[in-house]
Amino acid sequence: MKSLRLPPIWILNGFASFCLMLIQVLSGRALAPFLGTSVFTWTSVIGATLIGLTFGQAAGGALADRKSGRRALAQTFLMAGSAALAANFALAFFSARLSTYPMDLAFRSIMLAIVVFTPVAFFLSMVGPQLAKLAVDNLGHSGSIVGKLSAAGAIGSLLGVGLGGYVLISALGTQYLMSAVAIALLGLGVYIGVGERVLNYRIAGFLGVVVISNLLLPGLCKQESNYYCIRILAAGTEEAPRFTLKLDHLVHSYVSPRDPADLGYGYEQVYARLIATRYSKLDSFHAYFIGGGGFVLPRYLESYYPSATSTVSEIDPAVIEANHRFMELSTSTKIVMAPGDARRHLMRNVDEPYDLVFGDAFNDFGVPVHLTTLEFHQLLKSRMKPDGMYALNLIDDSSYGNFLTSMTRTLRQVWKYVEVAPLADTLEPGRNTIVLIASDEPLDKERWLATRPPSFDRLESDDKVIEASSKLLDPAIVEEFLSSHPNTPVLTDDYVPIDRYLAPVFRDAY
Amino acid sequence: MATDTRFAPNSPIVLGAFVFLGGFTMMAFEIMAARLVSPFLGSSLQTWTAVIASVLLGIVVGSRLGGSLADRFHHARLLGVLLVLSGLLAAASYAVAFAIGPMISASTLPLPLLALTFGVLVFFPPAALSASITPVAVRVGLDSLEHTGRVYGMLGAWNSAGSILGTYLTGFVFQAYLSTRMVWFALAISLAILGCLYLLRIRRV
Repeated sequence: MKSLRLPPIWILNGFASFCLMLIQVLSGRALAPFLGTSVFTWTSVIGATLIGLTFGQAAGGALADRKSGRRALAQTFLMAGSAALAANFALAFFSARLSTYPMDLAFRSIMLAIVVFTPVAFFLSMVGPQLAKLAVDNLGHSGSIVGKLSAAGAIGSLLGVGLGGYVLISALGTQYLMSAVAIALLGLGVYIGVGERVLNYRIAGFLGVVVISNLLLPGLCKQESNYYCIRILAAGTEEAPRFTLKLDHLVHSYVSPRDPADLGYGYEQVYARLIATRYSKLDSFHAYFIGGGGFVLPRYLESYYPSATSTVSEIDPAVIEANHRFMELSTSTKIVMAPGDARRHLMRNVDEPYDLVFGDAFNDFGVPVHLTTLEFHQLLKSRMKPDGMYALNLIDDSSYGNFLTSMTRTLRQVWKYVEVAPLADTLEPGRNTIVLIASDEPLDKERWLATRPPSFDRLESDDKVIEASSKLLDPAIVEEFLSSHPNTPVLTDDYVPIDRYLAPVFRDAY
Repeated sequence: MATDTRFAPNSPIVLGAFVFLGGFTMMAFEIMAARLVSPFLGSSLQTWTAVIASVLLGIVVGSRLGGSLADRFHHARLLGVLLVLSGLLAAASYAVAFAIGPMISASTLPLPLLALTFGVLVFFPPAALSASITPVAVRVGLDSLEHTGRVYGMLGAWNSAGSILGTYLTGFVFQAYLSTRMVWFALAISLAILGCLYLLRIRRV
């Protein structure tokens, strides 16, 4: 067979880079349902890609000087496509077993990323040097040719990131997208290889079977948005459904749409207690929620405090959409939706000042650092009533306690009083949810202890949850705990070492 | 010293070190960029994409620019000048971020547009100059057509290795132990100093 016309060199290089970046964006999303989106996940993915890139370029260069030409190029594309197919299988195979391997978490996530994604990156980055070799026929122009190739590569990368992040993942899902990339690479390899005796019928047939079985791998997510793999598990009865909302690795909320007093988490009972301490059922007040999830507390407010207003910042519009579509949140709800980043919302929108603010955006140890800083809290306070209260939940292990103490110090710079509610008698070692309550007015402790929010009515009166939600750390103990962590700083936009603080907690949890 | 060819201005070691540094600083700036944007525009898909896009745009323009300059000018001197300039621009861009940040933050234009404007004004210039280092280094290193593949491949590999280290060190060490401003200026100044040293070195040869 005669060879077909080779596409322009720079297009080929652009396409290889496009696929590479697409796979990098995609692999972060692909690991998130198993490993969360902690610093481990992203660095593993970037690292795995770059390792492939380093060795791929060196190998591609060495290969190009020895046997350059269409045949090697075609084989490289075919190998890259096969590696992408293999990645899908490897991901399905290893990720399900990931939690059972007795290995350090960082090591585990790096290994997974290397096994799954490095081969694809390796073969894709062998393309560039081969193309450079094909294109450079004159030393005098080598600079501009290399420059043009790199530029085409960067344009491809740009499109890969942009289309991948904004459009393709949410349209196709990670798995189909990976299959699509594989098919495109294989197709290109076949095209370039026509007449070069690269494929025989047996190999082609085998690849065909693999492609088809790849498309049949079971999917995982209800919906893949630009931010999360959204999963919703339904339980309960037809009349009283109870949904479990999972965002990536994290069970974000338990939602009982027809029984909004059913608050799934202990920290939500602390929030309910705080609301009931400040307000009775007919009071009107404005609550602002940073992080929506299953909208458990906004639904609760809507039902039991009809004169209250709730505004919710939820970063992912698809999560809001999923509440409407799958978890019975009425589209005519009074809850005011503010899709997007909370800090941006506070900067731009001057809402009616908030009486209560609830922070619930710290997802699965992937803490958005810009919502922890002194500057952020100063901004937040400027949008609140003078007697407003800010309650947030965080996860830390008091045997480390670095995040807890730096967060407490930061809040204390902005508000006079910071209460610590550990959901237990004291700070127990181990990974725990802890609520911090910040305000300029002291909390009315008598009312705090005596109040019975509607959410308690559906619990037994001796339920441990009720007792646990009332616990506040004695100020002396807070002082002592702070002074035993003398070096954790006030968090500022310039310095937020939270990933370092939470890494050991996250590691222990797996 | 002039007889030791291992450290000659066009030796693989020296050129490899430069493209390594180019990759290192580029990724370090890219990762820290997220923290420069978020005080003004928050942190969302739009801001991350804008950061990555403006850095990649910098690579597009920088690669083309570096390539065509390399074919026209004295290569080794050009390399030194580019290093110095990329350091100076990086330092300037930090100041630009805080100068334009409040203005951009207050604007009512759509977020993707604002984020991209911020990215292009702040991160594009230093990225473009860092990216122009690689094609110039390839040109300086090429002495014959026979080795095009190997030179391009080896320097590309060093560039990627620098990017890996830049990514990991920034994520796990710099941001975990040091203030963003300090790391940003330290990297910018080292680029500029290294460029100056290289320029002095090639004048002596």
